[in-house]
Amino acid sequence: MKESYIRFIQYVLGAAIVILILLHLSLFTSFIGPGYEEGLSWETVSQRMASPFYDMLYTLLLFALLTHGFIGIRNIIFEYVTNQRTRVIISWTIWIVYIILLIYGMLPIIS
Amino acid sequence: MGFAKREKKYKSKYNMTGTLGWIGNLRMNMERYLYFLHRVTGIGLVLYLILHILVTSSRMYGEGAYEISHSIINNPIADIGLFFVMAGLIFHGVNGIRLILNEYGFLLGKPTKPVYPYRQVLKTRGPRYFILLMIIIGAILLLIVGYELLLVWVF
Repeated sequence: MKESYIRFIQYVLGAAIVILILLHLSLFTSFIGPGYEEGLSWETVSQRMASPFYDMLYTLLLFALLTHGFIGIRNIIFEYVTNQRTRVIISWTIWIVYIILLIYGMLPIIS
Repeated sequence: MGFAKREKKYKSKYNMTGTLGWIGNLRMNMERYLYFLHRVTGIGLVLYLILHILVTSSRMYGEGAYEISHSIINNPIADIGLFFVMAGLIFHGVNGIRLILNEYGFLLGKPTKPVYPYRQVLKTRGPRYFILLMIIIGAILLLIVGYELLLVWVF
């Protein structure tokens, strides 16, 4: 993929994350949601994750954050490594870690 | 000529300033400081994200595992750390909005002819006021975070 596409994905996901993460964090404020301590209790979390809206929100947030984060890490590593063969190896490593974390993060949402 | 071949032909160490290059060219330049902070907070947030996924995924093993994993992080010292993570997150967010706006040319005014003395567009009113707005929004959000954490441990 062209580097300019990758940067465009960064911008789009970055803008999406700003909105999604405000929704996520507003659940832990006492102004909008149940508050920080109450919002983390087992009952509240189970109740919240039973609704399809929050399943959707957290799926999107997980995907957006991991993609945005790992593209950023990739950009920083590629500043140090210019050898094409090493870059391919690093790319594969990042892909594997990314997919493992994505699946591990998705498991509690699905179950 | 392919990228790798061209890279090899004109290989120059001059532009590869390494880690020092993050802070090596600050020169009292506001955007360079923001760039450095954006990068450092970005790396920190990725590390936090991995930890966050590992902790919150304990939910799938049932209530016991969830309670155990949350009792580890349920102390004031972890919440002081959380405050710094939130500060980094808020900075990364508002600065990211600034980067998107600058990238697509908002706030920068109409383009002018490149006549000497050149207009330094990032030092014009639009981008500078946006940085001010950024600081105000960030401070308000951070105050809310601080209030919520104090609500748990102090009040």
